[in-house]
Amino acid sequence: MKSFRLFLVLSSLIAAPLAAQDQRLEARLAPETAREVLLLLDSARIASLPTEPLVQKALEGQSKNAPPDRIIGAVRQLLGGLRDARLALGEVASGPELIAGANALRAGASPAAVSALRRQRGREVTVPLSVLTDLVARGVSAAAASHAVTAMVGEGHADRDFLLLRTQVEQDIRTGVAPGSALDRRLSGLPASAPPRQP
Amino acid sequence: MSRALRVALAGLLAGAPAVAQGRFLLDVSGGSTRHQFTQEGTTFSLAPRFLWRSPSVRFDLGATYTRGASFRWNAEGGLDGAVSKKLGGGFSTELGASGWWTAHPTGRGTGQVMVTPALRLSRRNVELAVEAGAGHASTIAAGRWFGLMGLRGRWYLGPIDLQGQVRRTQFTEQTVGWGNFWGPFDPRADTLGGATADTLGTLRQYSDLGLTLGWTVARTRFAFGVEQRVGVHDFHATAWHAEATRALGAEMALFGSAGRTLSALTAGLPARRYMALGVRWAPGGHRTAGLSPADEADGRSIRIVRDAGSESAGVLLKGAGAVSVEVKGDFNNWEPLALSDAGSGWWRLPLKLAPGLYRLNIRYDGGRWETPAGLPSEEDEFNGRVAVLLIVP
Repeated sequence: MKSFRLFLVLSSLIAAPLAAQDQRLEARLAPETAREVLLLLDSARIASLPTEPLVQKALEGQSKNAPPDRIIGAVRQLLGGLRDARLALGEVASGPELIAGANALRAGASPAAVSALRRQRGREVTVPLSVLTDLVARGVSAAAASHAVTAMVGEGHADRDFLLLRTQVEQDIRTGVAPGSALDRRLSGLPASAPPRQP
Repeated sequence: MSRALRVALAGLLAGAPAVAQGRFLLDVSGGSTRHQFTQEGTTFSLAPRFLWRSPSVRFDLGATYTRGASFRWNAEGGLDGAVSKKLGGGFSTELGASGWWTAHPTGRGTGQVMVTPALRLSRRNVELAVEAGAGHASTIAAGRWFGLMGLRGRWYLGPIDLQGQVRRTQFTEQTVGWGNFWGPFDPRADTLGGATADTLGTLRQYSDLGLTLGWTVARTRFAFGVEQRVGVHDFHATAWHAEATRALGAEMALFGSAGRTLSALTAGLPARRYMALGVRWAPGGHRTAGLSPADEADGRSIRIVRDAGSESAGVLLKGAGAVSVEVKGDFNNWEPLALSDAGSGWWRLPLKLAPGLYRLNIRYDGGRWETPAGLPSEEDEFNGRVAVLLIVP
């Protein structure tokens, strides 16, 4: 399968004009809060980290009526996550990959595991990291999800295998299977079972 | 990536009822099959199979070509499918149909068609269905009508799943016709235990009870099932089936099976013993156990809709009974956005979303912001939860 180009939209968002970011923040946040967030954006920009996720985090906080210190704290935490993702994934990591890495770290994946994913695969790991995050969001433990994704990367699976795994774990969970068991069952990668029919 | 694959993947990822899932499997196997008094020796089989699933329709189209030692070849094709409709409260109706036809080198054939309406209940990790059906079998020597009633269930318990079935079958006529093709085969000696020929003539009603246990561990799945047939005049017969499947990489699997079947009395086919070893190829990855009936009956809460040639996707969210539905997320700077009523309880997002990972919240009728059911969610940093939506190309 060709590259998924999975997070192209995020790439375009990363390149959003600073002026537009300023307008959004200044229009929605208290002046003091906006100023703090803009400083964090500058830090991200200097470090060549994507800034749009930080803007969206601040806007999310504002839309949920969070107090200023909590908004600033959330943005700062996300900036830290992006920095950690950069350390784990290396300088070659793309913007979408950094965002996926930050999400995976926040979900509970260890920096060592994220680094190992990138090193083992030798190319973009946006989809595996996103699936890892998704599995944790569905109730799979971070350790189990991290182990599963790492094992699949080690076996050389394509992006579509990760996406199928994620979908079928979701299906099992909906039928009442415990998330961890669903992952274990699907990771075994078994075909539909049907005895050979004989005349 | 082909357009079809993209659409299929999008459907898989979103759990979208609007998009179907189709998978192809090919089994290549060799083994030994023995009918009563008819030793076929080593056989070689080629069995392509196509499974298609959507939330309301499923079918399984397959064929098997077998070359045997004692009769030259045998080709069998069949279709098994069902249409279902959700009723609410975990209940759904299902109309199943199946049919198959076997061609023999003699130029003769046998076949059977059957229709089975069913009522199904899906609750958490248990599925139960009550079914009644009717069909017609065309055998070598006779055609016969039959009816059946049954109860079947499935229970998921972690890596173990248990399936049970009880089915009562009744003939409108009984004709022993398989001797024409199967030579000296005497069904009494195999499936009828100590029954006499007179008993055979009256075996127009019988019950089959089956139980199958599946267990998945690491990359291997084991399954073992037993089946018991009980009829009049203390008639009884037992069948069993065991198989193991081991994944070999992403698209290949090795399987082995052995067992003893019950005779297909409606179609006039005798019981057999068999064992087989084969390789299964499933292009695109073999994680394809397919949607369970519970998946099909489950009311999904989100739909991804795509226009031809576009990677951007429309999103519909379930909001049955709501007067208004609003959503906000990182695709619109977290500003409330009203959805438009798309009918049948669905609400349409007035934006197309490009491939990416999105976070969002939803509210119905101006209530509190929440996460839509069916989407994974996580804690946000503001003492609440946020849903995560992944859109793929």
